[in-house]
Amino acid sequence: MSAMVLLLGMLVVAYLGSLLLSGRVVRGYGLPSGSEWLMLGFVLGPALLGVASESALRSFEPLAGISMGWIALVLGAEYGYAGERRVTLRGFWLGVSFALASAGLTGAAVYAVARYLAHFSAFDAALIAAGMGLSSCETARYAVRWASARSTAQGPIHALLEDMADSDEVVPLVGVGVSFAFAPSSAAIVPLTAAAWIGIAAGLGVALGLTCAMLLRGMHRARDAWPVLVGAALLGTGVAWRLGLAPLTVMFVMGVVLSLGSRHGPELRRMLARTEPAVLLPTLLLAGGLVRFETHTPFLLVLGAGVLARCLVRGLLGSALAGASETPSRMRVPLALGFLSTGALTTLIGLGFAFRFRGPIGDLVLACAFTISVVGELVGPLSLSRALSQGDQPLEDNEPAAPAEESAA
Amino acid sequence: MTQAANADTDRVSTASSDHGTHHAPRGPVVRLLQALALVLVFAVLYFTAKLTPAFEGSFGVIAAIGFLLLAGMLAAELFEMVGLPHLTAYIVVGVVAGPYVLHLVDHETVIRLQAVNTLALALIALAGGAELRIDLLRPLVGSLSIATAIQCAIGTLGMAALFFACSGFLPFTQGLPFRALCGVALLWGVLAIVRSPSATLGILAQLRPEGPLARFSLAFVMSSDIVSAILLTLGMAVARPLIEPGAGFSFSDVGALGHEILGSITLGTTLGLLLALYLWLVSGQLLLVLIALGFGLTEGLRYLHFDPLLAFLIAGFVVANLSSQGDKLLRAIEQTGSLVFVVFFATAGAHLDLLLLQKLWPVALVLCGTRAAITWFAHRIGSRLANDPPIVRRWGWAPLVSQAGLALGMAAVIEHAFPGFGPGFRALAIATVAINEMAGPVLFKLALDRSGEVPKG
Repeated sequence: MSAMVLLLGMLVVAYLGSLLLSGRVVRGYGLPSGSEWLMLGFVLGPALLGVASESALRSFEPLAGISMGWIALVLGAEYGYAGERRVTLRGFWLGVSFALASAGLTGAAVYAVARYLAHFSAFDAALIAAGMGLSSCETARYAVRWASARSTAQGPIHALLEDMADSDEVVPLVGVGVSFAFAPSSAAIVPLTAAAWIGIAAGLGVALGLTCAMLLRGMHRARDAWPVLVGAALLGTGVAWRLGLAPLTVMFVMGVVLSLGSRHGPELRRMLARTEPAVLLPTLLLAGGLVRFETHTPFLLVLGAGVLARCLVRGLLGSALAGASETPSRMRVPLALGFLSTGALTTLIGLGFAFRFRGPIGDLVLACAFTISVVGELVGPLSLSRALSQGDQPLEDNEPAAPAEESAA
Repeated sequence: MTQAANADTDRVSTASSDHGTHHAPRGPVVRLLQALALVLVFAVLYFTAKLTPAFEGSFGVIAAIGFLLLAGMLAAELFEMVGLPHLTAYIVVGVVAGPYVLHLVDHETVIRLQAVNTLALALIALAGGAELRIDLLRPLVGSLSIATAIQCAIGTLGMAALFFACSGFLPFTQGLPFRALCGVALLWGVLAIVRSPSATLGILAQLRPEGPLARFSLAFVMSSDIVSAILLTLGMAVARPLIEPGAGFSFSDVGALGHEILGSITLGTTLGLLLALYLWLVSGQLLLVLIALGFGLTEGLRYLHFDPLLAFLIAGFVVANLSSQGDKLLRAIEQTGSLVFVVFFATAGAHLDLLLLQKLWPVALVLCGTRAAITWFAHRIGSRLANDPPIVRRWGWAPLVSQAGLALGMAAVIEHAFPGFGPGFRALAIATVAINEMAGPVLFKLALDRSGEVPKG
């Protein structure tokens, strides 16, 4: 399949995505995080049907790289907000702690298996562990919204979950930047410490965010901002890839700074959120196409360890959270299973590692992200939906959660 | 024509980057911050290039596009202070960051950025066609016909004569017999009457003028695309027997041109009708539709040996005149184009061969200066004969000075057709286009400012 045909195909997917995904949360059809597109990519890709060759898919790496950066920008701009309202401090800390614990425990298990059973070097094992840990620590925003759209109750558990889901992205998005900083680009001629690379990534995001905010300051309408936003996003993404930094981190920081620093913050968030589906679906399709499952034992061992550890850790943490938050007992199991849900960020982290570390490391992280996305998507949102509809009480004194349409449509 | 069009780095729509952008008044603090931000953006790319000098890959191109967009917009804001057009700012950013000055955007990146032009050209042509409303054109038909005829006749012959006179200073014409020299001069004359729709439309997009000068400029420059293509084909058919003694006059090129034009018009009409239908029935997700058309359909048209520019121009014309969806199309192009056109002009700036210009500037300057004078003279005669409004009589020549990618594309066609003197011919063309590309937009903006057609504030 030629690159041009593939491009047109991706545009068609983007078209369908922007038509369909914007309404999926509200109308409740399709999978909440678009994993069906991930699977479609896998089926059409070189691993199964071979409709698109690997070289053709690889030729779209730059586009996928831009998309990843753009989605990170959207996540950064929306960070700390659940729809139009700010997340609560409790939800924020719980979300971050939950993600940190999840990443740490999963990563530790993966490291042990990769290092001592699969005999990867310490550095490679650490990278694999970081990739798998980070890709597995997110609670999908869309899964929570999807579940809440299917349940009638919108009580405190729902609000807490929403707050957690809208807060925990900081862990994988910053974590990936830290991971990349320990493996600087071979093209860089000046040796810098990991701390310096992290500083450069953060500084780049802050500088671009402030530049955008300043340029937008003089504009009466936020929608005139597209050239500025796209320019900054492309510059940030391109420079980050070139320096071997994580574009996800750079763009996330830029989005946060822009959201905080621009007087058009709310309008920008709405504008950016509308672009997410069109950008996301082709990226998921491409990511699915690039997934490769090796059959040799070390690969399968580490992959199995990653998936299993993720399921166990999330399930246990979910149970602990359910117990600690005095959730009714009938809700606990479905709520714990609900934490298995993943979002597009999981795939993006996997894709980021696959682009940055070609070979076994990237393949393993992407394959793990793919597997936990599919497993999580099949189990998580449905359980979450059941938990919410079974046990969550309607809100009385609390501020009502933002309607799903506002965030997703 | 297709080849010329393919190589074109020309045109922009009135729905360009500045189109409809609403700005608050800028104080000195904001200007200072903008200047600092511009320095910062340059510094980011500069230090990235210094840190990773040997980096090769597509992400360098992505960074370059982002840089050109951001720096172009910042520079445009700053150029406003001295009354220079935004378009000039984009070009200057490209030149400064390009391979001949700071080398932040290297040769390979510049070439790879040409892919953006495919999309830009499609959007430009669509918007250009959509701007050509029959009700606006009808009163201009007489004036346009006379202006086109006079400009073609006086421009071609005048510039051919000048080229002939300057041929002693041009290394690539040394040793050519008289007949061949006449042929080369004729080709130069044809090249000299090529305009730059992109520059014209870029300025119109920024200033949003209303009046006879703006309407005349738009209509003349857009129609000149087709006229230039026809004249180039005829000019090459006439010049070939003069340059190559054994060759005879051939109608095959003319036949191919006819096929290309008619095919492009037919496909353009169909596309326009389909686009109008889509806009009427669906109208959503136009950004993606335009991108798909820009990339996908251009490839298809090239494969069929049709002219994508003409086809898109006709499509835009059909949408605007045979349906009520023209404004919707223009708004959609505005949103897409605002991203693409900055990169388009900045890339054109980065593409300017400054070394060549340094070598050929004396002859190029004479040719450009005389071309502007001949354009002015021919316009005076034409507008007097057509009894144009005074404002068109006075300033109507200004939008005709710019040249850009279309002229370069045609020079490439001539180089390909006449390999003997072609490379030297093309080098001189590049040098003159560089001057016209920089000076033309400034002149046109000046004319519009003086004509009083630019809305205040």
